[in-house]
Amino acid sequence: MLAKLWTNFGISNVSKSFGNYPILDRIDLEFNRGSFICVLGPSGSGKSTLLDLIAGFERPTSGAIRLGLEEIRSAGPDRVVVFQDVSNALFPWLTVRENVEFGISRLPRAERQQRVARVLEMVNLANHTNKFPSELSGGMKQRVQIARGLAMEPDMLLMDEPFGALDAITRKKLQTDLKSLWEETGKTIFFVTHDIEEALLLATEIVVLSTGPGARVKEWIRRDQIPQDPATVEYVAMKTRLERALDIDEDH
Amino acid sequence: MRVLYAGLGVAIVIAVWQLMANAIAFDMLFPPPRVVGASAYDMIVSGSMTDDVGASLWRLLLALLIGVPAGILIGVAIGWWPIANAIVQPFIRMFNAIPAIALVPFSLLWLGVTEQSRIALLVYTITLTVLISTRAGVRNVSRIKLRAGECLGVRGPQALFKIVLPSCIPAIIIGIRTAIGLGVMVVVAAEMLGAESGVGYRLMQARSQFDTAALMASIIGLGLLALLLDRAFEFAVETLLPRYSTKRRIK
Amino acid sequence: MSGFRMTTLSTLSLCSFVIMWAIAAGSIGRPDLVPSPLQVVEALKGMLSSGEIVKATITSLGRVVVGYLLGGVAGVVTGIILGRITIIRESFSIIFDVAKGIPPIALVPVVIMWFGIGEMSKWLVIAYVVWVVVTISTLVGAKEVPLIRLRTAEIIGLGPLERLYRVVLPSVVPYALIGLRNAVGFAFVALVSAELIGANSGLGQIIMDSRFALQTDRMVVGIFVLGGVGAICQILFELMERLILARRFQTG
Repeated sequence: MLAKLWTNFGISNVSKSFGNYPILDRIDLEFNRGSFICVLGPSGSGKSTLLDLIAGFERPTSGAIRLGLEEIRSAGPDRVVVFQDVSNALFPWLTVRENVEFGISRLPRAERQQRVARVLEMVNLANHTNKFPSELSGGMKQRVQIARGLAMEPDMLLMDEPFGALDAITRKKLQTDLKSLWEETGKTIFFVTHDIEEALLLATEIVVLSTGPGARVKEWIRRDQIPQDPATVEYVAMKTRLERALDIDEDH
Repeated sequence: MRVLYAGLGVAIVIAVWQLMANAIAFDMLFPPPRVVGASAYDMIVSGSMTDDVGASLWRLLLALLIGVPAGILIGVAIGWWPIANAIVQPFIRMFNAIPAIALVPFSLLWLGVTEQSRIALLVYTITLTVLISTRAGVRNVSRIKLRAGECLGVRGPQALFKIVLPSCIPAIIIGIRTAIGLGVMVVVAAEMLGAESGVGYRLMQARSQFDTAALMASIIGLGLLALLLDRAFEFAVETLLPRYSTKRRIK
Repeated sequence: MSGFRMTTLSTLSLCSFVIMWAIAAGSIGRPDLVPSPLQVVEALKGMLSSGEIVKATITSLGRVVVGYLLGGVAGVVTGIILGRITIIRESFSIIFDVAKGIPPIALVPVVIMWFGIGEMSKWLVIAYVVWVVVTISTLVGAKEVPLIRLRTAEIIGLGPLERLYRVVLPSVVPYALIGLRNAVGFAFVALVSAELIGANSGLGQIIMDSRFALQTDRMVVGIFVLGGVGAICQILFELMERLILARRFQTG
């Protein structure tokens, strides 16, 4: 329960290497509870490694990640992950309802059912509770994954390019739905992506990592700097700035 | 590291075997590793192992030389022409359901305890296996490849040679590999039920002499031989046909 | 070409084969070596009315069922242990590589020496083959349980036992099924091997005895019944897969 009391989330001077190979180099960031953080970076920059560190799947080589005063040392139900790999993330042998119930099986039956109904309603899947994942589209599978996470009532949702494998139209729809979900629940969301427009649409904080090995924070754009209206000069300027930061034309 | 672990595994198996032999304390019935090792050593030194393995391998090789081309030929033909497939299909189903070993007595009845009888059965097994795999390979050639070929002016029989055949080489390779494994089983069965040479014959000899050590040495030897053949085939494919390698290549 | 025409062609082909067989048998005139189709049917009738073939089939089938169940259960357990525990896998995979290559028929003499010519020997030979086949395919599945599923278990905080039966076991099912399906065919190979060499009853004995008695018609009946029973078992297995397991555990 203590974990729920935190108000800020800090990544202090975190480095991570695998063997002699450096992935992240002295990452130093701090966010308020309830932020929507988008991490951008070229592929192989260590975005996902950073997410794994926050999730507690991996431990930093040096530095620490803290929720309030408490250091993250292992994975826990207060930080659920929404994985990109839709086909493996859900349990194919369980129905939508059973998948969502998976993490809360110890709760009393009545409360469990109530929660499942509520979160499935939130992600607009109330009519598909008895289907199997193989009978759902990619977008619907990701909704189930989000519902499974929300059912555990976590403090934080960690999302690893969750919409990366979806078609453009579905992605757009899920982005807007995720945004209203965030507004509704006030969860802290840590969202890894390589899509600049996605980040601009969703984020209250945007972090750009540099190209690895040994990725560092290249840009850190705060809430008040992110333009909301795509039809403005500021928006285009910000987009260009992020594109530059991402070295999108590195091949030339 | 891997070698070390494998060595550990072998050591554990031998240790357990020794402990069991100690507990049973009846070397005639359950010889300890040392006795089986000695028996294997005798077979190697006396040259009988070379003779037996040689005879069995010779049969297998001869049958592969006939069965593989036959299997590929028929497999491609019925994979390519639906009519040919419809004609042959019921027989493939039927024979595929019958374990080849069940046909050993049949081949002995028709062809007697002869070299032809053993080779014929082996050729049958190998042809059937390669044929089924090849047919699947031909049928699974993607339409996109064929259409790409059409756009580039490759059609009809030309497509068969330029697109279909190369595309199904991996399937053929898998078929041959399976056929080698099955071939070892069938050649041993054929030799056990009627032969005067080969590993299977040696097994039956050891049985009639109640020579458990020789039996066990031969069984382990057969496992090693099959493994060796499989790895040798894999190695040959990797070196001779690297572009059809079934292993994932990392640049 | 339509499916109907294909079926017609297949049927025609089968019929013309029987006719050609009849003509060949007639012109060769050695019914002891090449019995005519009619003779084979007569032999079948005789063996049916004497109850001999039914009895042999039941005996053989019983052996396959017992051996298959023993080997199947052992294979799934061994496969999971080898798949999940790296040290054990690295140590014993070589043993299984060798075991895979041992023809079941080669085991028959030594197994008869140890356990006599009774049922136990047949069960063991069949169980051995099934065990090796099922172990190898289960091992692959257990080794490759998707990391993100294990991580989901980690977030939820499942203990090792719960993780085993809620995540690992169901993830392994499709792979184990592939092994179990292949093992049906191998079980029949092992059955014939055991019955041809240590024959005192069963279909293998009918086949072997008719060789020495020069009763090819009886041999053909034996072979066909054996193939038929094997094919039926194969079909039943696939039916069971489709009816009971398809929705939860699709195996393609």
